[in-house]
Amino acid sequence: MFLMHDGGAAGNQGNPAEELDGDLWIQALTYFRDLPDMGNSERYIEEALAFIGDKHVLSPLLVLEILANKENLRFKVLKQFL
Amino acid sequence: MLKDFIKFIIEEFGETCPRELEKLTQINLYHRLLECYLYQNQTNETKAKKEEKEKQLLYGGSKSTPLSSQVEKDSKEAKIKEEINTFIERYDSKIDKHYVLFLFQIYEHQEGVKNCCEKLQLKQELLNFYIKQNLPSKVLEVCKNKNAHN
Repeated sequence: MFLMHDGGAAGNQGNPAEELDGDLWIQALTYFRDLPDMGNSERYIEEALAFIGDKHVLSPLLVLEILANKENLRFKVLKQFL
Repeated sequence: MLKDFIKFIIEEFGETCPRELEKLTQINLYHRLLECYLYQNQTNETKAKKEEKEKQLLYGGSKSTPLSSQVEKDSKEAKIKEEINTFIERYDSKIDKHYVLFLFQIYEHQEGVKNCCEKLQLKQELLNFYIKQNLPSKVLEVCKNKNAHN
């Protein structure tokens, strides 16, 4: 798995605490992605991405992989993060 | 009755003769008493839910419960919840918090699960709890706090 790209944790080589951070965010992003309410879902995804991008918690590729499963996700949600 | 008995033993002998109390039984009385409270709480909640369901089926939600009976029911539920909270505060040093979390989960006492996870800094458990409760803003908060603490 390729969790973080900051602090040498990419490729699962970081300490367990850092990996847990990544795991939490993966779980949260997946949950936001699957929220039924489109407007709310996007709002939370946007907020999460702003934080993930700022702190470099997850690799962008992994984020895209998670969000790729969401149909009708608007580009404006990802734009800032990318 | 069991609840009252355990409560009496703990209050009377818990502080004055803890060794004797320990010798008396290998079963942790504090945990058992909490279990009694939780069982009572769960029974109340299940009963309330069942009554609500029956009412919906019979009257389609048009007939409301008499105010006095509702107030009595609410105060009973509030009292047992208060007893649980008081117990946790009062016997904090006497209980195994991880076991208490387990009890809260078994008896589906949501408030207790949340407080326990926060106290024990169990972020993963807390996240699962909020996801189950469908509280996205709280999910976000847990993740953000986790990073802020590191």
